[in-house]
Amino acid sequence: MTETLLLAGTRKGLLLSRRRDGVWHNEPLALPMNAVYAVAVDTRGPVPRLFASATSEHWGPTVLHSDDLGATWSEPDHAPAVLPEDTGAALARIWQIQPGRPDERDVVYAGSEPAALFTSVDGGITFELVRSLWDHPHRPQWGAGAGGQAIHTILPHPRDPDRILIALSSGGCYRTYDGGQTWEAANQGVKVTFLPDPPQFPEFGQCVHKVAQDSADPERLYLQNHNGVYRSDDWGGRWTSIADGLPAEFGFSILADPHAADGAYVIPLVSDGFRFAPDFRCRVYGTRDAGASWSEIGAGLPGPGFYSLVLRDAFATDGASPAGLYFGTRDGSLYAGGADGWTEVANHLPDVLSVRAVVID
Amino acid sequence: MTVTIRVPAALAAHSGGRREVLVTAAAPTTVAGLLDRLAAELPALERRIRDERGSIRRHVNLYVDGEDIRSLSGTETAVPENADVTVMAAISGG
Repeated sequence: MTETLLLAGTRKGLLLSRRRDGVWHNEPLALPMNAVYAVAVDTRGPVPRLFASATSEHWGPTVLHSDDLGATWSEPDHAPAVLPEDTGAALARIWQIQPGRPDERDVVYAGSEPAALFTSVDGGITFELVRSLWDHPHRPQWGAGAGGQAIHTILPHPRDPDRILIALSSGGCYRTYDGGQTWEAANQGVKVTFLPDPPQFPEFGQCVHKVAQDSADPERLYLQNHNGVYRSDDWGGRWTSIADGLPAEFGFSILADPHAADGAYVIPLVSDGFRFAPDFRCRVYGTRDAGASWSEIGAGLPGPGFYSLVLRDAFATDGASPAGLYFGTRDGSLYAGGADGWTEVANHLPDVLSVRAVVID
Repeated sequence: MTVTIRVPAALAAHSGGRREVLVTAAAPTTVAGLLDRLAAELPALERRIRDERGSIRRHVNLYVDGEDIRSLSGTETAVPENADVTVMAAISGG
């Protein structure tokens, strides 16, 4: 029987919800008292492997995995990811867990606070620092957003094993063409509005909130910036605004449709100085033409009177065709839906930090 | 020498369910030396008390025979034989 498994990482635990026969079944909160900044589903093996980045306010960060669809969670005795002694730094939390390419079965990437990229070659059990990015000469000038400095986006190129693009707040996008030996900033055309005399267009330093990769054309990327929504058709070489047609250009999350070429979704907020949904109505916007035009997706979301927002990684698709969309809010509601309308899956959760979904046959 | 580490309930899953862990260390030792021994025996417990730099986590308090090590010499605080070392969660969070 087909089941949709929805993972929602929250400020104080992980909610798993399963949709069977059209009905959502919410399980008791797992990993209580842990902030779950990242969840992931690795579908490359015979059984999906689930991941959760769990950070205790008291007891520090760890990364857990589950090979039984969330019934039990495991972690190694030794820390799954640490910063080497000579860095003088300590891992605060993992912000992103990204399975590698289909032909790199045991490769899993992780992005962290402080801004660091890690690679696992044992299926995501243990991770090693990618030293070349840690040693990048721009590092001393990277900043931190309100949530802390983080590598929150990791996009392995699906056709070229030597290419990976990452994004961090704040610092912007960086890409490698040589398997991670060297990294170059990839922010041309992305504005900065938080420096004097805005907008400025520096080489790096942008507060990129999230980047997504088009499902049909991996050279095409979509970017939600700290003010600005952009598209690149040359894998980050040059970015052009696609914010016309949206009610606002601020926001945290952006998704590519997993099947529709030129399809992407955003959840706009008015501005960095007014972080509310336009008209205080919770709305998802989608494009079918790579950002040339946008329209509201589905009905049934709350507002007017919606004063919450959706964080950068709390918006996901399930990979189905047509894709289901899922997001969680800072006031603890979890929604599933799309063009046919939205359903509230859960409410009264702690702040939702991360969302992923997978359809299981 | 043997030292008793008292483990809070929140960490008992990482000490095999024990709320008291006996650690043997060469005398004399310090809090850092004691935690090095703990790392060898129960790494999943030790990494929740201090980070990879060896620093006690910000919201963790350690007491040697009832004295907060932050008011003593931190991780260089001497740990006497038969001491009780208590691990506690500090007041924080929401």
